Amino acid sequence: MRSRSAVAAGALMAGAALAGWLVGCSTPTPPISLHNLERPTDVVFSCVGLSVTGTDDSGQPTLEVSGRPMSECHVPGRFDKPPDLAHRTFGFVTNTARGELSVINMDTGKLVDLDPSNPETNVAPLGVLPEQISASDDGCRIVSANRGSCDLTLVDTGALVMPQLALEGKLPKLPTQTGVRPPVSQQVVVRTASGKPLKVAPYEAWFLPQDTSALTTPEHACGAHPSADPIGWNPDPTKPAETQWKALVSFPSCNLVALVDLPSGEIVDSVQVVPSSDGTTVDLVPMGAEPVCAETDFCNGSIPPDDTSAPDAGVAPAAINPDQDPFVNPAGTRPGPMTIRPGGERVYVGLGQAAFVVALDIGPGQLRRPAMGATIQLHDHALGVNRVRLSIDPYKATGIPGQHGGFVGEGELRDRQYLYVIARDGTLRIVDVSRSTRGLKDTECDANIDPAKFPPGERDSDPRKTCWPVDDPADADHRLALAQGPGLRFSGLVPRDVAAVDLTSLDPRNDWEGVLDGAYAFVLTSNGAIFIVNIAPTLRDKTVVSGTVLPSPIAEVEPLANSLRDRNILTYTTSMDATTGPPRLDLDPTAPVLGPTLLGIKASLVADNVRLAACATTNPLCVLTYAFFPQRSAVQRQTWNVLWQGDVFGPSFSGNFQAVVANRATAERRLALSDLGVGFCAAGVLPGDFVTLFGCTADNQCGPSQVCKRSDSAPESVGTLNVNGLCMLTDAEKQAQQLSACAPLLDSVRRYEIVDATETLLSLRPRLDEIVSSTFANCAHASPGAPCGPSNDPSRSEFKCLNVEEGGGLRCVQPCVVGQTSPACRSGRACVDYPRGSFCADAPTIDDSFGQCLNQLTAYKVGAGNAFLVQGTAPTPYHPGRPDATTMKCVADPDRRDRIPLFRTKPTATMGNVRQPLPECDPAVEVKDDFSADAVGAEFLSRMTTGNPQVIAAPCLVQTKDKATDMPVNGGPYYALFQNRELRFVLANLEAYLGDSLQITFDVHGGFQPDTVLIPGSVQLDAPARIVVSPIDSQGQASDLSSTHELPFLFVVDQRRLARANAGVSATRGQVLRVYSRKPTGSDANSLLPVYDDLTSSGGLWPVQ
Amino acid sequence: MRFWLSPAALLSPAALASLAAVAVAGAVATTGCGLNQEGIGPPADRIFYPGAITVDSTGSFLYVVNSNADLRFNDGTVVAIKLGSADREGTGVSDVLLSARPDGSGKPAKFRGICADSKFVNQLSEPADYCCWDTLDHNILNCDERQFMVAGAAVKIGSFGSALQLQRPQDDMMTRDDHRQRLLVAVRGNASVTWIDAAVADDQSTVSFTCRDGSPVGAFDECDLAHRVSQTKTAPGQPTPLAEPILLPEEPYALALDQSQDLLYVGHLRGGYLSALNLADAPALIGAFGGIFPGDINGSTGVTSLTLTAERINSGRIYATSRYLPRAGAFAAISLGPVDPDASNAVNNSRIFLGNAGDSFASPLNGAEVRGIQPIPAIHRTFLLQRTPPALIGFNTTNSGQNVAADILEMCNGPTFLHMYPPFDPDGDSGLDKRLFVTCFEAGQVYVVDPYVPKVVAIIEVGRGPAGLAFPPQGSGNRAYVVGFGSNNVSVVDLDPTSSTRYHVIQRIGFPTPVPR
Repeated sequence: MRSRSAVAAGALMAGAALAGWLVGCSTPTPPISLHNLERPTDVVFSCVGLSVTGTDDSGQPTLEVSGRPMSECHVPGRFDKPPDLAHRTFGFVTNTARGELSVINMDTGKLVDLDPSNPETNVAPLGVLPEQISASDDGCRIVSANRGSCDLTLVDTGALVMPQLALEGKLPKLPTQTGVRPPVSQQVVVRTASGKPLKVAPYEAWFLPQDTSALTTPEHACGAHPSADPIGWNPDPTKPAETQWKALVSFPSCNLVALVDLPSGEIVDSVQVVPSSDGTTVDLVPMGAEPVCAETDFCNGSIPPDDTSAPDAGVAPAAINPDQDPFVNPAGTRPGPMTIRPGGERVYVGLGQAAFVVALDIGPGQLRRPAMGATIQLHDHALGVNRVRLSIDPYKATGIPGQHGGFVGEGELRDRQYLYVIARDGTLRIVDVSRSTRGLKDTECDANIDPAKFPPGERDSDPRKTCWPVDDPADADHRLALAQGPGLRFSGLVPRDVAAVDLTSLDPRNDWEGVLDGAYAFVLTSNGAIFIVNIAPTLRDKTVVSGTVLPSPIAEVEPLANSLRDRNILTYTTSMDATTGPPRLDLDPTAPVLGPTLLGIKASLVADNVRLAACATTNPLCVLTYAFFPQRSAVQRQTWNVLWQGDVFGPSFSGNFQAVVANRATAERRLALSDLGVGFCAAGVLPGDFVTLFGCTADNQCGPSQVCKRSDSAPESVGTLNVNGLCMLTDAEKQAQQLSACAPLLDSVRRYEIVDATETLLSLRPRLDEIVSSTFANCAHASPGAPCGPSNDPSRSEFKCLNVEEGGGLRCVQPCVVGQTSPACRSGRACVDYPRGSFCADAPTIDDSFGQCLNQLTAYKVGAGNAFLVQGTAPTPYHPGRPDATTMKCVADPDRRDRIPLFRTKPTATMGNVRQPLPECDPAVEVKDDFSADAVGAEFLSRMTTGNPQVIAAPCLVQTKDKATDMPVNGGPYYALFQNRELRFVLANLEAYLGDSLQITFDVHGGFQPDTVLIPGSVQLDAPARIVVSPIDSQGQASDLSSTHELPFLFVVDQRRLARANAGVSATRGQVLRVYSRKPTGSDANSLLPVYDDLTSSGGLWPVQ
Repeated sequence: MRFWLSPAALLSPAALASLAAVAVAGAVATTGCGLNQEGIGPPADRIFYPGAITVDSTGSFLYVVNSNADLRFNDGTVVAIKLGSADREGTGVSDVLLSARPDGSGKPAKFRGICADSKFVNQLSEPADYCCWDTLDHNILNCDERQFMVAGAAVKIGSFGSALQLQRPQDDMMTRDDHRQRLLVAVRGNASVTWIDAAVADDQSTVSFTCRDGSPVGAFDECDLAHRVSQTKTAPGQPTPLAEPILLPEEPYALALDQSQDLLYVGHLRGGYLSALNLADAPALIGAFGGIFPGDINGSTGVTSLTLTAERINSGRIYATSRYLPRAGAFAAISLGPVDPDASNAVNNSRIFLGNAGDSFASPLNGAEVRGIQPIPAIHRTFLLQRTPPALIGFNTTNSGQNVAADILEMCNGPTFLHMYPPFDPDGDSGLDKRLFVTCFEAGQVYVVDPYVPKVVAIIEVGRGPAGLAFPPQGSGNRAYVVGFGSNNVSVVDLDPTSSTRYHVIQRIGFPTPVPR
């Protein structure tokens, strides 16, 4: 035990020394102190108190300021009591840009002036680039990892805030200080046991958790030595034996993790993480107390460089192959981010240059390689690790005296213990670390399991309910369609940090639809949005209607652990806005009066159509159902378009067209289209699709000294097709030449059929002017030469069922004679030679004039040939198309699900001179005789209902049959069943006349919406770096201090916000923001949701800037 | 009154007009000069609002573009600064600095005192060879820049020079002859790319400039129209002349040089154009190509930087960054005409257009304006420098990565340019030795980033308004040279890993002053 007299003697100097220290520390002197935060990156909390420890010789009370265990300020499991001078909570924030430490009084939300005797809000120096900070469990010290100066700074928390407490307490004299003074802080250069400094930058430094069971009274105030040992290091923690604090420090440049004494800085034990000999995994190499680093870092001059040292990172060049999976950089693994289990028995270390997390067991004075699970592989091109966090609340009660912190929502089986890994591929990976407590190997979980393939009924007895192992065994079949790897992605945002919080409560409202209750991970992303990930959610099964709490008509199905929480588990009401509630069609689809349309089906289950719940009881089928949602969690609010020959992509403005000879014997020319900006196969282009040479509509779409010129004779549009211009030179003579040469092009709608498609090149020929629906419904059963044009379109009166090319089947086209004006092709079309004759086409014959017309980048777009394109407006990732491995030509990906084609493609495209329609659905749907909508809908209902787990794997055709003969009815009606990731529907009347375009549109309202922390318009953050759960209850401090549900505040460190005039912000500065973990949202009294606090809602306290 | 403005402030015509008005008013009020057409000629031996810099291929000279941003003179200039012989060997900065440092006996070869105060500027009437140790930082030797200027190596180019590239003729590349060089300067004031022939003496003791036909070598002349590329009278790929010429679009701001193909690419701050120049003979405009970036909500487009990572027509890559949107993309020079590479005209410099190369990067951060992009293929990372909020964003460019943002490092205020050093090594590059340097105009700092981990490894305080960096050819010195737009000088940064002043300014060529002398 330390000498209290010595402590008191040392403390006498404190007042003057502190002031001097604040401005004149031996290591880096800060610039002019400012009272704002500048590039803050991290925050930790400590409890500090002022205590009366006795009386002095004159009878005056003896006062002492000391850090204390956090449980003294915030008793776990109880409401916080109001703060007093003996129980104050401070936040310590690193200002990385200035190398300073700012202190926030968490009870008042104000920055603390560390030297009240001087103007401004004074701060304390740390080191260069103090990116990360940690607090000891005894509350006595904080330590920062200074990546710029290659050292650590150890700060005495009590001494640091002593002037503030003295000022607040209006004390007649400064309190006695504990510990050794000066210094209040110490720069610590980590050294080997022999005293050799490590000349490499620390990445993170974490105190080992301490057993604070002996620190319950002021007598155990902080001193020069700790009064609490690391957990598990001492069989009798009430009699501490360690004379130093212990911390784990990572050094990426040295590939090293070291157990370090503080404040001596001496390495007790260490382990290097190196690539294995075969380069496919990593090895842990014990280095003891004398590790050797092959490299040195720039240490801002604070550690003299070696004269013989190589430039930092100047290792021998090594072959790096980031496409190797798992990736291991042969030049070094770069361990950096760390997190320690609450019991202090194990640390997880992320590797910056290997797709692994390594685990090390911590024992008294040593680091050990675990017998099992020392390396945890991250799958599917994780590349490396930026940050690791455990799903723990560090202040949670454990029931063990002196020990705090535990996994949130782990459950009775303690099987929901997760390690969150922010990988270097921009994803959040989840590792099940509960397995190691059961003697198993920790493993990565697949966070993209399709809930439809793992339904609730199958989960209860399945251990994969809490973690679907990625590789134990490997199983890609259960993964969500379109998911890329096992990690979570956040709509293009980069995850920055994760904090876990338990919001489980006994509040009677905890199962209301608008309440966040349960255990969750809060994932902070690059724009400040905090996504909520399920750990152990409380299911929402109550709704509030006119003040009455009722069971939800559709109760929430338990989501899979590690899935994004759905905000839209809400009961449907007629007043619901488009963004909220379950997926539905509030309005019927819009479609042309004549032509294909979506079949409206009379469903009777609310699960199939939530709008049925609002129907009058006398008419339960008052609403027709046009679209079904087999997987609710996949549905996004968006507008869907079913477009006849819709655009696969475009317009692209970088098309390079060249006329080439495709057949020397016939001198047939084709257009070759290349576009370095587009991978055609990946974009979904297929042979049979068509290119529209979009051209230009305005001069500013052309280059310098060019203008957009269109035909003087052609109409601006033909039907629904535009006849645009082409870019031509402003030079009059040149322009005249171009106009003359390009007249046929300028006069046409310029649509070209894609004959061949590869990833980089399309081969094009003029597209036939064809009535596809007539080919589908009429020519399939007609003789060659039979008329097929619709009677209501006189411009197509000359269309006949004809063979255009060998083996192509009869098609409804218009014959013509090249060079003659009669019979005339339709406007915007031209007569073109084909193998079996001349026919009208959507573009003129390709000839040498194209060189003058398309001698620059030209805009174009690609349409889906002879198919309906089902497109949504939300950014849904589609399976990219792919080239055939042998032919390198684009082939369809069956998982892409965005088309309803009318015809099959090769090799079954034709049979007996008839183009073959889509395959029949299997199992078949029998539609016979009575073709009324109700009767047909009844036939389809069993296939469409949400309760039918059978997936419609690909669009399929339903032919109507004659009841008497059981034979297909020629000419229809025809129906197509379609399902993609979000929808099922029936497209009816396929045989109806199709013009050049047709569009069916419907809006899906509601649907899955990832739950995020609400950001009021008055809160602005732009470069968030850190989110932490705090020990501070968001519930008001209660006088009874009874054991109840605590809902902690969370805090976000934002490195900088932008100065934006429209946000009323005039300065750029960092800030610490408070997140109210559950709060009435104001707009809805039944909602209790997490929200960023603003100045108004926090009573003028937060954010602190 | 402060006459210096940030580069961003200099972009708009209104700003240019204001500057001109200030300059005119200032001239009338303070000097009493008459307003004649000639105006006040620029000095040949001083640094004033430098906007761009490069080191010659021998490591013997610094070439500096003086932008004349406050229009106090009637022209901007390009000047040459002699680097000391010691610098070429990588052991010192300049002979002056070397002489001021203690020798083996502990005494400096030439005594240099401490500057009189922290704002000390040597007056023009005082000896030009004056240097003194900075009052606040005794590691920095402040020197009058006149003593380093190379006589006969200064020309007038017009105002608002913004970028500089050094071209070496192809035949000289083969023979390792560094004596003939060509400087290419983007001049916003007259919307041109101005080119200057530089001839280095055999002993590399001096260099002379020429940019005016018929003028004696070394004369301090204004570059003539023949040395300004601002238009072409032929359409791309077509030799017949046009009645109306194609003009180089306004605001040429960024340059990228394809040394092996003799092509120069120009990014324009306004209109979003990319232009291409054929350098095979006398530089000539091939054409300007629009539609590089979509416009912002107001339809504004612009290019802030170009980075060339692969050379040649049909195989090269130029990365351009958007002035208005937080995005960047890759473009390529594509040959017009037959795709067949064996065709005689397939790789003709005059028959190219610039097309989208399909590699795009979208920032995940709210905000706008990307100031630089730096692909590092060896470690499959591409870094994007965003101005607001200031951040360096790393994208995963592995085959499975699809250019997804994965790393975000916050940067200092007002980042303007992104540089990488050492450059790519075509003979094999591990990517591990790279450092990214970010100059921050508002903060007066240069951030040094290790892209490998990634992390900020150093912050260099370089004084107000750093506007660019230059590095010597590899193996010819551990130094970086920082353009001090706001302090009217060039700062020399020590990069020697064994030096105690590493990542620290050790010399200023020109006393730091917000207003030119």
